[in-house]
Amino acid sequence: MMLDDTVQVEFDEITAATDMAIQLDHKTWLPRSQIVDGYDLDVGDSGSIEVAEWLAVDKGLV
Amino acid sequence: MSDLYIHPTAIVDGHPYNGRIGDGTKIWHFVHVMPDAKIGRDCVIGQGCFIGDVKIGDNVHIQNNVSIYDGVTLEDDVLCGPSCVFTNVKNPRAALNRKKEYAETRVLRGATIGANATIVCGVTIGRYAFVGAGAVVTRYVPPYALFLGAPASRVGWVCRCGEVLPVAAYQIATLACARCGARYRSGPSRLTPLEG
Repeated sequence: MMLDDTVQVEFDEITAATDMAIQLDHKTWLPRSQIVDGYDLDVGDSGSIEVAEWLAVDKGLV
Repeated sequence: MSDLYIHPTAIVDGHPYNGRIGDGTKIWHFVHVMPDAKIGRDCVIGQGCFIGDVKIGDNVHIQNNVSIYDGVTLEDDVLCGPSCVFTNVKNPRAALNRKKEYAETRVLRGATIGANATIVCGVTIGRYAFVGAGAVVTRYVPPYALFLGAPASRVGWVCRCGEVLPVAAYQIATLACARCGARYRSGPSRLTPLEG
């Protein structure tokens, strides 16, 4: 049985951010509403985020 | 012969019998289905619904007066309560065409959306999650989560069978559903089904 609908996505840096979305590594924009606890992220943060799996696949992140 | 049923007052654009609407599906009074919509088997589309060019899985029940606009995807076994609302643009203006700015919304397998709930676009509603009546969802909903309020937040967990589980929203515990006996492990941010 699949336990989760999400995957971990690693990135070097959040390079831009708005109230609605963040940009990872100057490339991929992701809506905060699709990120688990996405409202605490800001420019300069690094590490990984948990994001809806289907969106990560759509954006080529996994 | 297909046992697809389309009420005489419903409008299904394009060809309804070319396999894009599954066997056993019932489309009731005054429904409008767009030509590129794909609807699975054994679905029920209630009176007055609008189905855009979207993908709908098997055994999806959409109650009366629900509009499923482009950009929304419903997986198998999803239930949309009466008059619940989906949007597909974050900041619409009548004077601006934002058809290229649709924010995708996905409702994953087995989730329930209560009557009159509003799903603001660009979110994922996790498997078997339960959105209460009148809730306004603006963010990611984890699997099995019970989301209530406006804006909606997680107030507990729900079993696959729909029963609210006897555990606080952020409590760590192993528990069983009082209705069906399914067992789970709850954590601060997720609920994990246990095998057996």
